[in-house]
Amino acid sequence: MQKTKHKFKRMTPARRREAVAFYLTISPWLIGFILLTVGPMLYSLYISFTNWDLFGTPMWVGLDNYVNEMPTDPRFWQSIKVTLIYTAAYVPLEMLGGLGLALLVRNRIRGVRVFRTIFYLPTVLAGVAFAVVWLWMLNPRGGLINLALEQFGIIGPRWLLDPDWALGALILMSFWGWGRAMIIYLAGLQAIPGTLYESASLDGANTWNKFWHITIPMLSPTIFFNLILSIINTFQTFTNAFVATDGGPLDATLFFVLYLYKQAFNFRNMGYASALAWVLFLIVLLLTLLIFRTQRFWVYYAGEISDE
Amino acid sequence: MSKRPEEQDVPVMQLHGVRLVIRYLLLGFAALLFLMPLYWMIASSVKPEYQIFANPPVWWPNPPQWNNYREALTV
Repeated sequence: MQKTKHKFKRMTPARRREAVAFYLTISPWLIGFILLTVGPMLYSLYISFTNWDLFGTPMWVGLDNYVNEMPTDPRFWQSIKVTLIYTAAYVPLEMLGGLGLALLVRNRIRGVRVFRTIFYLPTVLAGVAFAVVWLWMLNPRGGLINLALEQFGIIGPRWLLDPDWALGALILMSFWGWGRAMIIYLAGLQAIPGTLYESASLDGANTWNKFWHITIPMLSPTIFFNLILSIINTFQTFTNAFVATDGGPLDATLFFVLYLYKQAFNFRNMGYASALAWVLFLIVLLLTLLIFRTQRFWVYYAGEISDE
Repeated sequence: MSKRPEEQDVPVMQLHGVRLVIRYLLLGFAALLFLMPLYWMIASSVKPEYQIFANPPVWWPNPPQWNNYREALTV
């Protein structure tokens, strides 16, 4: 603190004005972040060491929620399983699907902007509307999907109502959200200098060569970014399951965050729910750090001077 | 200011002939998949209750129930 003050005094007046302006202009965000994000987070950390029904006084129980409650709770493990299966299916699908869409709308051909808009449209749709539309589409009787299957003589499954199909149905409908990844890939693709492709063409490279030796390496920072975002988002899946299945049937779609919500607001175990939230935070944090560690093996930053 | 080598300066991103046709077919197919639920949502918004899960499906609500919107806005 002393050091900072000293440094501040040593600044030229212009520098000092600039510093003050900087903190003033970020203050709306900074104050909001501290009051509305950091504050509640720390409070939830405290609550996670208590038992609290939302109304009485929180009762201190130490690590009980983490050490005794969680490991013996079968629904906790079920929610971990559901979330992991969904993530394992959804993340690769979104990564590939988003890239595929981005490659399709990359070229400057007539009408390409319209297609970009169409693919991105579901992403801006409200989460609840997204789930409700698919609730209709996947209705076993009279839903469009099963009516279409009927045309081919296939009797469709009961989708969201069948414990064996419900999670698969949520994975199926998730393609509608690929636009989120697409738009980021598209930005990455457009940052690749066209001269690279031009010189590769002169050297006789075909489309396939150019894709593997120019597009993919140049896009690897974008792929990396999308991978991290995709995993973080998927671990927090909530709305689709909350609206379309409410975790059912038979807990087949009991996502981690949905279970957390139920513990907090249906069963009013705020302490346990807070503990769940912190466990999720730690899982996602560890996973993200792990992926960051793999970065140097496959992510290429143009212009970076390697020290190896 | 020197000009940056942006993609528009380089003609490699153009598509012609068969490739262009295939591209449009793929785009059209994907767009159909993406628009179908959206269309279904909008069409359903002006359907009477009994037509929503009707078999065969009602593609064009007739007559459109604009009242649905009035109801939603006055709840």
